[in-house]
Amino acid sequence: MSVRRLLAAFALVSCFPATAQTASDWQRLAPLAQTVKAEEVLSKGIDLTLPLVAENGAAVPLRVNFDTSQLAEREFIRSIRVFSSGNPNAEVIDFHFEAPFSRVELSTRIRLSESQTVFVLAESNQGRQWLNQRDVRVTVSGCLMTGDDSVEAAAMNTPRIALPRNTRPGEAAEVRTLINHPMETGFRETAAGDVIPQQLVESLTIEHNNQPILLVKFHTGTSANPFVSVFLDETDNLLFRWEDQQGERVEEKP
Amino acid sequence: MDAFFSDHEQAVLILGALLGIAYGAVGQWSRFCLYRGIEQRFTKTDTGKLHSFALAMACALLLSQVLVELTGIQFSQTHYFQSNPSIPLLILGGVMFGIGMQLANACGARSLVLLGSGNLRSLLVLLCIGLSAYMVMSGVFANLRIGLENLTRISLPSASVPDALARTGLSSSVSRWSATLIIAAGLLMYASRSETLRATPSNWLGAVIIGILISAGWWITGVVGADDFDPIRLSSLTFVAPIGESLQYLMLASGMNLSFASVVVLGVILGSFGRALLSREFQWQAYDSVGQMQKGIVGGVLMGTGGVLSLGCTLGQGLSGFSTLAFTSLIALPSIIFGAYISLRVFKSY
Repeated sequence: MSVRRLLAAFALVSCFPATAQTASDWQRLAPLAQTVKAEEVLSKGIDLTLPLVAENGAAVPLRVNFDTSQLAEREFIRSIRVFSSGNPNAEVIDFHFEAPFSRVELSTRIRLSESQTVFVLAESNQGRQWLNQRDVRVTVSGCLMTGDDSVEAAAMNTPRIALPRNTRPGEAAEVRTLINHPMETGFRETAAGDVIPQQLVESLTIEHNNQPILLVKFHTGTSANPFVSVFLDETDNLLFRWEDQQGERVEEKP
Repeated sequence: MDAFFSDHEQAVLILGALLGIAYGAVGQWSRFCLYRGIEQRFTKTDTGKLHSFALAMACALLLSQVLVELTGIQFSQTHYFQSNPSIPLLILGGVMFGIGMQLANACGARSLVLLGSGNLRSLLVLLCIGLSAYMVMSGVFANLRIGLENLTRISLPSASVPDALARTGLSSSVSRWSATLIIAAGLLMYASRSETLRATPSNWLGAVIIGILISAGWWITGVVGADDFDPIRLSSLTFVAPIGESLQYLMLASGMNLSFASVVVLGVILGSFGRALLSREFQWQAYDSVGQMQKGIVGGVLMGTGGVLSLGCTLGQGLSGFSTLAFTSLIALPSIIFGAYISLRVFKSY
């Protein structure tokens, strides 16, 4: 990571502000505007990382970072939701926190059907809301000649959980998870013109000592083989449970 | 590995840069070049260049297949394995690349090496390659390319020679090794016929090292870059799209991650520069005439466009792709050679 940062710094990091739009951008996106309840939407403290140009709109890496020093006493982040302005369905992925997290940093991979703006909305237990946005230009895939309309088996399989190699006590550690599943959107057609039915993994629940601490809801905007990485304060006695639209469940312990 | 690098991505980037530096230095020392080989064949002089390319192909093939045996990497994950490729576009792309290579006097990889040793002509060629490659891949001509691809696609029962042999009922390792050994033996026999090759270590040793570097590329992306959650795409040395990607990185670094392909490109220029300085061969060079410059521009555009259509350049398809024994490589490489040959016929008189 540090090498990449260094090289990026050498390559003259651009001085332009990433987002110079007016605040009304998000108001035009109905599902997002309906979710914003606070009178004043804050922007300081929430960071959204996405590539400027994505050559593969099917899996665009997304990272959300919230600076918890912005929170008041006894205030914690309740939810973080991601919306897209140009996808058929604006909802991308939602994170609901059932307990205070000392470090709020989430990564996943999302689908973007075209060049558009991605929004992230965070809400605290005291009702304060934070919003940030990034523009992503999606080009035609660089991977050539992959005309593929095969219908994969839509059952969840091979759940994977990686705990960090060396954790320091008292410090949140990154836990990465992935489960194999095609995340069929219901918007795709076969060569013959039949709509491929929707098949989604609906949610991932992370439990600590049998208490849910994080609920992740996946939508059509979440990439196939849903990947989630979070920073957890405790990495013992964890349980991960994925559930799909048919009610099938897969449970895994690290 | 874990002790040296913070994560697999960093390991791949650092090793990729070293791989590029090694290729740049060896390429500068040995003057490895498929185009020079074809030109000699045309002028009937033996400088061992075509034979050294054949030797590099044989080494890359043998070592890459040994790597598959040892590590279990899957070449079917590379973009050379296409189950429904557009064969007309592969051939057209290869021929365009060959013509461009003749007009510009060097292929993409050779241009990077030349730039490192002070040849400013190749800077222009490289800019043209990178720009035109991205114009066809994701820019103004992308939709045209995709439309043409969809029109001309055909479905193949298998994507490589070993797969095709395996369909006759042979076991997969028998079919892989029989294909590998027969093809490698043929190439080695051809290479050994050149007295010049045997007499000049820079030619044969350079070719052997480049063969090793190809398999090292597979090892870096396929073994070091393997990760359950975020695997690096399996690839080795290839230059057309990566030249474009490196230009894009220079312009968009704040919103883009550095990739294996880009660090290799950077490494080749540095490696060649270092070796040219050490051997006191570094010398600024530029175009002497308008005609030469026009040829460089047209050649660069043809190589960029053709390289994308044929899924790779002389290195990408000729060595990396070839070492996987994918059908697309076995179609693209002869097309490149054919393109260079007809261009020599038309534009050169000996």
